[in-house]
Amino acid sequence: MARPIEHIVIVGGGTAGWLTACILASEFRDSAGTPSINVSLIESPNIPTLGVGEGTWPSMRSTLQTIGLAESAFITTCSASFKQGTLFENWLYDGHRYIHPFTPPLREGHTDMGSAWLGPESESSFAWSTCPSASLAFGDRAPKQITTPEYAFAANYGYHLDAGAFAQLLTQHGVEQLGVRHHRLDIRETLLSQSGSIEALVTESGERLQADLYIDCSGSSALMLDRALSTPLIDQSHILFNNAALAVQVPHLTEDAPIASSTRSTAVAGGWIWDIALSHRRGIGYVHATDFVDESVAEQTLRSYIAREFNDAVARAITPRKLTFSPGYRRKFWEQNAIAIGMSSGFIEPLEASALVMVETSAWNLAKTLPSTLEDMSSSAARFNQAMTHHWEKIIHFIKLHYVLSERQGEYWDAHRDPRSWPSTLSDDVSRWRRQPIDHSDADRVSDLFPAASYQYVFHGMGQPVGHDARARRSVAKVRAAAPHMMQAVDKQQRMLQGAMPTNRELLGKIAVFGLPTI
Amino acid sequence: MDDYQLLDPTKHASVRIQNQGSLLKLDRGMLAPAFLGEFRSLACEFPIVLTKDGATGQFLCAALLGLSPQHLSCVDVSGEWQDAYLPWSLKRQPFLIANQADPEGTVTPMLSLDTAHPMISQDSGELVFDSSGALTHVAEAKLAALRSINDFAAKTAEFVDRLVSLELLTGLKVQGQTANGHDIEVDGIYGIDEEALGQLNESVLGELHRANQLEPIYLMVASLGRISAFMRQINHQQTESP
Repeated sequence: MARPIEHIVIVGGGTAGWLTACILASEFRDSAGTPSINVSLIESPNIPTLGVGEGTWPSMRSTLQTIGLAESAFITTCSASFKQGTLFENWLYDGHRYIHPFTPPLREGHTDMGSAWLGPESESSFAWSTCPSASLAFGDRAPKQITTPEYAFAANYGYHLDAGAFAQLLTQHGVEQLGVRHHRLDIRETLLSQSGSIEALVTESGERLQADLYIDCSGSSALMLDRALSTPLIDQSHILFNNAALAVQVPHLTEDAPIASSTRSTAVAGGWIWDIALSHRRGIGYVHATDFVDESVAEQTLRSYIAREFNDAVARAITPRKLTFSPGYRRKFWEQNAIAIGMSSGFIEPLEASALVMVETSAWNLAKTLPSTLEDMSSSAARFNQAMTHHWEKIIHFIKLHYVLSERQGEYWDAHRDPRSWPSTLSDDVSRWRRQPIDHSDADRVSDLFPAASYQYVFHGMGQPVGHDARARRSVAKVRAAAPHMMQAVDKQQRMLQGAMPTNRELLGKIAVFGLPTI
Repeated sequence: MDDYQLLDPTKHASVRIQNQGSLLKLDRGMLAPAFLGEFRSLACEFPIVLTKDGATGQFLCAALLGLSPQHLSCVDVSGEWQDAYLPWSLKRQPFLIANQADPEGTVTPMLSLDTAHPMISQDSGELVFDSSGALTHVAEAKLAALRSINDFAAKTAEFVDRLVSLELLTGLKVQGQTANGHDIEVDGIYGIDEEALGQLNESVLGELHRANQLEPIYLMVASLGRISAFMRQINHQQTESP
């Protein structure tokens, strides 16, 4: 007899757990709101949530909208700000900067005008020449106006948010609006059946909890996937060396301090420093490789950054929190009747803010592919594992790309430039992109997280010209001929947006008072 | 720059107000704020829509005066105001109510005059005060409009809040081409979502009716018929003019 999947238990009450709970509960219900699957979440009253992962992708807009959260309430509750991309400082060499905006290069018809860029010798950088919202993303202007409806935009955006407040908001929404059952319990033990699947979870008080499917959102301890099912992590430290971070939160110095439109990432000797501006504070941290940097040196580097950005007194007063991680991801994410989502599935440095988007991707993928019976689970699991492995490989490939084109001096950067540390696909891609323009076939899967535009922004942002072979090509000539017209169109839009958009601070202030309109 | 002064028979003895056409010639705005008490009169002349306040994103009721700044329906080809119903928000100009706060923080609404307003003149138009210091008929009529706005502003805001909370609004887009090939496009206006209106249950409809909010909803729906009249008017003017 077929056994239906009727009850899902999620273990872990951080952002990953609650986001997954809300996504599943919002999908599995009828139009009157009656759940078609019971979703329970078990949160330990004794394990604090880590509260990192404060940058999202634009995908978070549709996630929040689909699970039924009002954007104005989300922004106010989570002290959120608008993120239009990532600004990379000193990555090519000290004093150089470039941006990877969420808004793709202007396109005309089917022609990707990105390849019309005249190259690093031209007056304007790649993003400035091709991205209509580059002027916003570089500065502190908002991607929309107070009259723009919730989740709509003039320039594409995700968010910077307070992760602790976000988990709380999702808890409230999940329990009150989506019918998620919330249990505050510690799990003592995971019982396995003879076939090796999870039979039940045993709580501290000895109670047995059973479900049809178990989702492991327990963070890096990976209670089910690692401790119970012993699914190994595939180590990635030979590619991405960073394995530690020193993190601080610093309030803005004044009430009218500008709120940057992008995550700032500043390259330093043994890694890079993130700088994420929320409405009330900045989150700053130094991600580094302990093989190359001593903790005391790392702390000194972080303090100098804060002294430059704030002042000496602030730099002296901070107490950085130390986080360590083993860069890698699981060999399988869906094993038997257990699925890892969030840090239990793996963790790598947050250079492209991949943590939350991977939670969203995993949960939506699960929501889409979840079969109705346990008997049909193994083919769904195989597809899920294949898709997630592909995403991890692509993320690691893309993050490594940021390092290999750098001209920075030092052991750490030399090691990154050593092709022996590159994924083989990256070596192929970099040499191909030197011969021919990056195009849409470089992100050929519909579900690919990074569009070809992301490769263009980073590859050309790091000073690489658009690749062309020596032969004459009509397609290239056509794009080149249209280049001046395109540059004008981009310039016009940049000016228009720059003139029309309020600053982030102005808009966030108005949202707190009036809220954004819903239509 | 605005220059608000409390209305004063001595100080403003020689102030004159030019006719309404002069305002529209200068201001060419396509929307005039609209208030509940005048929906019936407005609906015969203008589409009654909602628009967003650019500073707050909040919805406001407004009369759509035309389909482009060059084609305001109540202004003839020469730019003169035609004999049509004049929305209170236009009629009251250049008068306004200024809230004056005393040191204790008590706010008193005071009749004021914007002396920098384009309709104000020293040598042409109608006087505000006659020789005895009493308000002229022209000024009285404008102050009556101002009082009506004052009476209906809060009710209109409640009405708008109700439309928003019942999710009765939908974006409107006017798109077309005039007889001589000019594109006409009006964006950023909102109207009643008739499908959502049709799905309201009896108890909500009853509440709306008791709050005097049902009639204005249907007046808004009916007023949209003026859009095609506007279009005919543009085409008529274009074929008339050489």
